[in-house]
Amino acid sequence: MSLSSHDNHLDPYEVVAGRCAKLGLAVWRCNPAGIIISEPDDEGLLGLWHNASTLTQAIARMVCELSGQTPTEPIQLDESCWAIIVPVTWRNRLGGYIVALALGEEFFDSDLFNKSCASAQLNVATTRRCLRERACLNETSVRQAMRMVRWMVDDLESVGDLDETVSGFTVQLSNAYETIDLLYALGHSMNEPNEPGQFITAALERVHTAMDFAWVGAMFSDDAGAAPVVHGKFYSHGSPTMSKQRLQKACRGLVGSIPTPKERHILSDNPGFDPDGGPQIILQPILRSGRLAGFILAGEKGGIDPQVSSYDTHLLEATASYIGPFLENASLYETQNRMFLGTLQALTSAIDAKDPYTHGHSERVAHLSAQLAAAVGLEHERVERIHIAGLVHDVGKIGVPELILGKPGRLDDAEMDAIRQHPAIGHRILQDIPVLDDIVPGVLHHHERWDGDGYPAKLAGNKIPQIARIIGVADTFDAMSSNRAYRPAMTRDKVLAEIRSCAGSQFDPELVEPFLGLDFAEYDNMVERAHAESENGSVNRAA
Amino acid sequence: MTAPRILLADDEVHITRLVARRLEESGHEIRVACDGEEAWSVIQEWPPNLIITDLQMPYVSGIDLVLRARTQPQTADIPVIMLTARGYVLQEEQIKQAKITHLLSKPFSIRRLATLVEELLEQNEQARRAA
Repeated sequence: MSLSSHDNHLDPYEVVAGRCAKLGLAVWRCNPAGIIISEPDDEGLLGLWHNASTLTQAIARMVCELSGQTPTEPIQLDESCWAIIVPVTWRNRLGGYIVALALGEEFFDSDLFNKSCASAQLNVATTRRCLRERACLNETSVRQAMRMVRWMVDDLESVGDLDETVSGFTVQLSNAYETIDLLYALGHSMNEPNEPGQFITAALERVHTAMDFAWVGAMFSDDAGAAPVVHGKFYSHGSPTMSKQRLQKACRGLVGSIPTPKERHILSDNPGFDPDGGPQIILQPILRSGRLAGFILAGEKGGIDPQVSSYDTHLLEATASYIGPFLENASLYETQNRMFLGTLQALTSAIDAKDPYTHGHSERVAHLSAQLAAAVGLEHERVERIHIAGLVHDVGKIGVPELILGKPGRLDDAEMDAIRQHPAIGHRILQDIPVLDDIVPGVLHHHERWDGDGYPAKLAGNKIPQIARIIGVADTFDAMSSNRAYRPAMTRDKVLAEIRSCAGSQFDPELVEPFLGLDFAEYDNMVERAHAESENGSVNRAA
Repeated sequence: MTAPRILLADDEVHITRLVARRLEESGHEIRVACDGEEAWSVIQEWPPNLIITDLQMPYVSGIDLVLRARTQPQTADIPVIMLTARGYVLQEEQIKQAKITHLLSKPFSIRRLATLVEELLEQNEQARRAA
C-alpha cells in the first residue's frame, strides 16, 4: 500500500520492513482480511523458510482471528516465537497489518519450527544455522520491539497524511494557477478588437487546455435578441469522438431538453452522445443581461478522475461570465457603429440630393475606395476607415450653392472657385469630430493631383495622404461614369482608358493598375439602384 | 534513451515543487536550484537539456545565469523558459542576447508549461538527430 499518490515518496511498509530487518525481525504485510500480500524479501534458504506454508498459515490465521481488533501485546505463536501485529491506517481506515516475527533461542525446539521446516522441505539443522543470529529476543525485548514498530508506523502514517495534504494543496495551487491564467487570458482578449467568433474560439481553446475534457463547445440561442451577433452559432474545440456536425446536433438536442436552462447542469445520461448514456457532460448557461444567450458545454472527461470536479465547473462558469458581457459589448458596439454609419449615410444622401446628377455618388465612391484599399493590401480596419472617408468626402458641398452644383454647361471662374471650396468646407465641418481624425485628410485632399496641380494645397506625390489619393481615383471614376449637368456619362472602356492615361499625372501610378483590376459588378448594381430610385422619385437623371 | 534533464531554478519553493511534480510525472529528470548560484553549479556538473528559471533570484539573476550557461558548449543552445512576475517587461535586447526561447508570466498555467516543455524537448531532439 502506498500512502502517497505518486511514486517518489516513501511506502511505509517498505520503510518498516527495512528497519525491522535491521532489528532481526522478518515482516509480512496482510490485508484487513488476513490475506498475506507480501513476504519478507530475504533470499535463499531464509526466503524459503519465510514462505513455509505452516508458518504463513499460522500468521494468516492469527490476523484473521483479530477480526479488526488491535492487539496491544505481542502474540505468542509457540515457544520463543512472537508475532508483533501493528495495524496500518490510511485515510482513517484500516489499510492492513504489518506482522513482524520475533524469535528467541528456544524457538528451535518448538513444534512450529520443526513443522515449518518440514512443510518447506528444509533441513532443520541448516535452517537453524541461518536463523540463529536472529533468534536473540526474549519476552521483554519483544515488547520493546513492538513499541518501536508501532512508533515507526505512527510516524510514517503522519508523514503520509502530511504528504497527502501537501499533494492536495499542490493540486489546488496548480488549479488556482490555471484559473488565474485563464481569467487573465480572457480579460486580455476582452480588450482586443476581436470578432465575437474569434473571442469565443480563443476562450474555448484556453478553457480546453486547462481542463481534461475531450471537447468543449459553445452553443448560442437562435434568438438574435438574446444572443446578438452570434445567434444560432455553434463553436467547438478539442477532439470529440463524433464529427463536429453530430456533436452540434447532439448538443442542440441536449440543450433543448433542459427544463431549467438558466442553471448549470451536470448530466450523466446522454443518449444523444452515446447509446449507453455516455460520460458526464457539463452544461453551463451563458447569461447576457439576465437573458439566456446560450451554453458552454464540456464532455468526455479524461485524466485521472472521470468525475466532473468543482474546478471544472468553476472554469466553465468563469468563461461563461466573460462571454456574456463580451456579447453585450459586441452588440452595443455594433448598434453604435450602425448608428454612426447610418448618420453619415443620411448626411451624405442629403448632400448628394442637392445635385440630381450625383445621387448615390458618395456611397459608390466609398465602395470603390474600400475595394481599392483592399486591393493594395491595406488592413481590414484601415479599409473600413477609408470607406467612411469615401462616404463623407463631399460633405463640404453643403456649403456650395445648389445653383452652381446643378448648373448645366460651363462654369465661370467664380463658380469654379465656389465648387473648389468644398474640400476645405468639408474639412472645417469635420475637423472637430475626434473620431474622424484619420478621415479628415481624405476629405481635404481628395482633389489634389499626383503632379501637384490639384487643390486646395497643391500637394504632390506621396505628400498627398494615401487616403486622399485612393478617394481621388474612385471619385474621378464615378464622376466620369455618371451623367453630369455639363456632359453625358462616358463608356466604361473610355473611363478606364482615361484613368490609365492619367497615371503619374493626376493619379498615384501605384494605385492605377490595382484600380483597373477591380471587379465593378457591385458598383454597377449600385448605379442601377440609384437610377431606379431617381426614376421613382422626382429626379430624372436621364433629363 | 535517458530521460531528458531539466534544471528548474526558482527561489519560490511552491513553484519548484509544483513544476517538478508535474514534469516528473512526464518522466523527466529534474534538478531544483533555489538561487542562481546553486543553479550555476548544477549546470556545470549536470548539463541539462532544458532550463526553466525565474528571472529574479538571489545572488545570480535568471538572465545572468542564462548568459553564463551560453558560454558553456553543452548548454550554449539549449532552450530556456524564463519565468517573470506578471507585468515585468524584459528588454528585447536581453531576450535576444540570452537566447530566451519563451517567457512566462507568473502565475502561469502548469499544463501549458508542461506542453511547452514537451514541444521544446522534441524540437531539441529533432535538431540533435538532424545534426
